[in-house]
Amino acid sequence: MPPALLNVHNLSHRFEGRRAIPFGSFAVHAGSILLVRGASGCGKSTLLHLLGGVLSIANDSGTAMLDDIDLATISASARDRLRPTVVGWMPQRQFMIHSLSVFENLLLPVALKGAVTAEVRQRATDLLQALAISQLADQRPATLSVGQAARVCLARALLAGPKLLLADEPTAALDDASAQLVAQQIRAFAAVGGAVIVASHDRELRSLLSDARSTDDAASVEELILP
Amino acid sequence: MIARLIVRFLWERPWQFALAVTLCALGLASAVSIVWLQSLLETHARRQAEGIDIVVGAKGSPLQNVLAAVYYLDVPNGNIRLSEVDTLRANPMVAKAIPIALGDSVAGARIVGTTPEFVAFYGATLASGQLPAAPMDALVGAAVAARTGLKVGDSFVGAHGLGDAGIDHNSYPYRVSGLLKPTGRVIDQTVVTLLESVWLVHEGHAASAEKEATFALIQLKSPIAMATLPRLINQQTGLQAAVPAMESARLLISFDWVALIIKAFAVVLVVAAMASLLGALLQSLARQAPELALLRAMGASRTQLSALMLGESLVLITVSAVVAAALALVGVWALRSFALPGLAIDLQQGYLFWLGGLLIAIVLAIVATIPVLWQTASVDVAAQLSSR
Repeated sequence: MPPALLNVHNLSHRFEGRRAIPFGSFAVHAGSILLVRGASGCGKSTLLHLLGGVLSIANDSGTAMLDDIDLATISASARDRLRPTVVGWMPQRQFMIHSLSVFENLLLPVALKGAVTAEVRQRATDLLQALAISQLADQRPATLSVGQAARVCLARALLAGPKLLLADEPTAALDDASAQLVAQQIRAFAAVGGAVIVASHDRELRSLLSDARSTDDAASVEELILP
Repeated sequence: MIARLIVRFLWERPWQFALAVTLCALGLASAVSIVWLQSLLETHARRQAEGIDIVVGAKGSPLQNVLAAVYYLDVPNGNIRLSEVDTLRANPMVAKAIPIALGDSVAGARIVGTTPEFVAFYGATLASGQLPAAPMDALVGAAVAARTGLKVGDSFVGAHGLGDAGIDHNSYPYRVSGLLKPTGRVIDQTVVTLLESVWLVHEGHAASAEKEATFALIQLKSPIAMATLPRLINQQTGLQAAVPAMESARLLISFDWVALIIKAFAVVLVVAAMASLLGALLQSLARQAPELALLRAMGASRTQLSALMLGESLVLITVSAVVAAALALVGVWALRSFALPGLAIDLQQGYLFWLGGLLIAIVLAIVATIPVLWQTASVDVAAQLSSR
C-alpha cells in the first residue's frame, strides 16, 4: 500500500471556554474514502476545518501531515495556499457568490489563482455534465434547488484536481437522485486516486459511496466514528 | 477575477452604491466648489483693478478711494479739479489718466461720467447701439442691462447717490445709446456716460467754478514710476494717490481667516464624505461576510480580499469624484449665469482643485478602509460556511 496522503495523530481541538474535541489518530490513502460520522455537534465540521487549513492546529493538539506538510506548523497563508490544489473543500453551507453565474462560481477557485485555461474550462464543462447540471451554467445561484447547488459546490471543490476532497454533509437535505449523483462523483474522484473525507450524519451515504456499478468508480470506504 | 468581483459586488447593490456615491460626491463637490469659488472670486476681485496702477482722488482714506473708484462699493472722499487730471496726464511717467465723475445711480448701478477711452480701457465692446456721442447718451453695462431690461433708445433718470433713496434728476433723462457685452469686470455693473452728462445734471445744485471729476484712473509707463509717483502726488499735491493692488491686498489679508475657515470647512466636508464611505463599506462588509468567507475557503489570500475591499472603496471614490466634478461645474456655471455674469471661470484651476480633492479623498478612503480591512481579515470562515 502506498504511504498515506493524510496522517493524523492524536488530533484534538478546543474552542475557547469549551472542552477539547478529540479526533484520535487515523490515516487516509489516495483512492480511499473516510466517512466521518457522529452525532450533531461532535466536531465533524471542525475536523474538516482543521484539515482544510481554515482552523489552526494548536501546539499541543496533535499533528496532521498532509502530503508531507505539517498542518500544525505552517502559517495561515501557507494553509490558504493548500486550497484548492491540494485540498478541495465542499462546505456544509452550499454557498456561492450571488452575482456570478454558476459557471463563474465553478471556476472561482482556479480564477482566484489566475489559472483559468481552456483546459480548465473544458474540465468544468465535463464536471457539470457528469453532475447533470450543464444546463444551469449561465444561471445565477439564486435560481438553483438545494440539490443542484450541492452538485455545483462539489464540482467547484473538484475542479482544480485536489489531492484531498473534504466534503461536509454533501448529501444533507438532497433528494435521492441528487444524493446519488453526488456520491457517484465522490466515488469516481476516489477511484482515480483522490483521497476523500466526508463528514455526514446521513445513514444512507455509506451504501451510496460503496455502491460501485463498475470497477472504474470503486473505492474503499472506511468509517471514523467521533464520540 | 478580483476586478470582476469588485464590479459585480457594487453592481449587485445599485441603490446602496448610488447612495454612497451621492453622499461622497456631494461632500467632494461642496469642498472643491467652495475652494475653487473662493479662488475665482479672489481672481475676479483682483481683475477689477487690472491696468489701474493708481487711483487719484480727494484726500482721505486710500482704501475708501480704491473701493469707490475701482469697485464702486463706497462713496468718494470728494471731488478733484479736472485741470489736476490734465496735469497728471501731462506727467511723463503717466501713460493714461482717465477722469471719472460719480454721484448718481440708476437701479443701484453707478452712473460713471468719463471720457470715451474708459470703455476701451476695460476691454468692453458693444453688444448693440453705439458709444455715447453727446451729453445724456448712456452706455449700459451687461449686468445692468440684464437686471433692468434697458434697451437701446430707452430713457431713464438718475438718482442722486447710490441707492433708491436719492433724489431723481427728472429734468435730465438719459437715453440709452448702446449696450455692452459682458467683460467680467466692474464696467458690467455700471452705466457709462460722458463727463459732460454728469456736469449737466449737477449744474443746478453742485455748481462749480471749475469742471470737476471724482477720480482719475492712472496707468503708468514703468515700474519705477509706480515706486515714485504715488509718493510725489501725496507729498506735493492736495490729492490722494492710492495703489489698488496694495489696498486690495491689505483688504484680502485682513480676510485671511475667512479663507482659512473656508478651507477647514472643505476638509470637514471631505472627511464627512469619507465617513459616509466607511459606513457604506462596513454595511457592505456585514452583508458580504459569507461571500468573503467563501472566497477565503476557495483559496483567496488575505491580500486578495484586502484588494477587493480597497478596490470597492476606490471605485466608489473615483465614481464619486467624477460626479463631484460635474456637480462643481454645474454650480459654478449657475453662479456665472445667474449671479456673476462675466465671471472668468478658470477650468484648469478647477481641474487642479478637483485633482487635489481627489488625491486627499483617495488617501482618506484608504484610511477609512483600514477598519474594514481589519474586519475582513478576521472573518470567521469556519463559522460562516458551516451551519452554526
